Amino acid sequence: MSSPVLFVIVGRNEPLFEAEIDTAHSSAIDSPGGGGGGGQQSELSTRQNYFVLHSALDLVEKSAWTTNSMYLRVVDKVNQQQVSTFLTAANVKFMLLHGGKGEDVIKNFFNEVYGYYVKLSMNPFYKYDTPITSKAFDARVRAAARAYLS
Amino acid sequence: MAMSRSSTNILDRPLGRSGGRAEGSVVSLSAFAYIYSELVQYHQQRAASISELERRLESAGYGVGLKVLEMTAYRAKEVSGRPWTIILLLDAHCSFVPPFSLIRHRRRDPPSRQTKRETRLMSILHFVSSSVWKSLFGKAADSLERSIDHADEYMIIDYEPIASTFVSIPPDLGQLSADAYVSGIVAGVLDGAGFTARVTAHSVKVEEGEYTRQGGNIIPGIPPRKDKAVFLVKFSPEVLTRDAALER
Repeated sequence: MSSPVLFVIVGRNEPLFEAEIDTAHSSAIDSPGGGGGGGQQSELSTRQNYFVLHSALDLVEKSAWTTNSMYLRVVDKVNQQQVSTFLTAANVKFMLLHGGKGEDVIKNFFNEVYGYYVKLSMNPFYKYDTPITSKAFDARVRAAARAYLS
Repeated sequence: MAMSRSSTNILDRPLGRSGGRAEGSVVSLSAFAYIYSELVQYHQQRAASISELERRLESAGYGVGLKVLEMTAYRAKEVSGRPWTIILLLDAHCSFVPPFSLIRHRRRDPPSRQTKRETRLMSILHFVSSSVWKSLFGKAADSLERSIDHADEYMIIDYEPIASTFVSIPPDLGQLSADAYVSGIVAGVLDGAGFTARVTAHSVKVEEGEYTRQGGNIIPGIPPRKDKAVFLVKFSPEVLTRDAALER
């Protein structure tokens, strides 16, 4: 079973990047800025997803200093949904909301995205802790999500 | 000119590795010296005082530090994590400020393939003085010392600081340290990793017989330096409180 996943990169004060990715469909249904599915139902669940994800941030702050690994595994569970987190060396938070995928699968996904993030931050015009607007970055994150999480 | 590669997206380019000095990952010293002297002159014309000039150089380095932190941590994952043992020794030769103790680091465990963040104060300092220094200057910093009187102060010492090698300080700018740029980089690395600190660069005279260059020089044909660069790192109180809490 594949369900949509929500991936957010959070900086010190604000989200830097968001992607809602429907891993069930391999085609270009998901466009930048949110899922393609219409109707009020999905609208509601999208909002709830953001709520769950952002409320997990406190737990991330708490566990951030207790381990020196970047991958924090599942930090929060609400009903069927789980929030996995990855912290980069400069404490930028990668948050993934999903319906219970394997730990290693998510780790691989995070590692790939981390590579893209580091490359992106090597761009002299990208300033640390500012929103990510690169279309290429968006496309690669979505491709990675489909490759690893479907 | 070099525009042929510009069609490749930055995300498709390889990041390179820390050990390998691949073609293109090392900037020629003359190019660096030229552009750095331009940078110093640019800020010198716009700064009214020595402290303002240093502050400008520091803020130029700060953003570099944030990037260097991510890049070095990412590359370290491919090669090895570096666990260190820490030995505290008293240093009789040290002349800077009150007595500082010398900290030796040594590799202990076999390389691991884990991605790692630095969460402890000592490990981030070793990360800066070894990994970051190597990736920036091709060598580790010469020593890392801790103040005995002030628990929040550490010093990173470099006997051959590249940034100030080709900058001669005019007499009217007496106290200026041209390594302020590097202290900004160090501050950026520490701040990014969550260890907020005030980092200042100082030029300190090298005592007779304190340092002799062993083996091959970094820069061939340059006479020995008369002063060393001392980067004084002063952590903010909350960092020390947190580190003390982690100790338990």
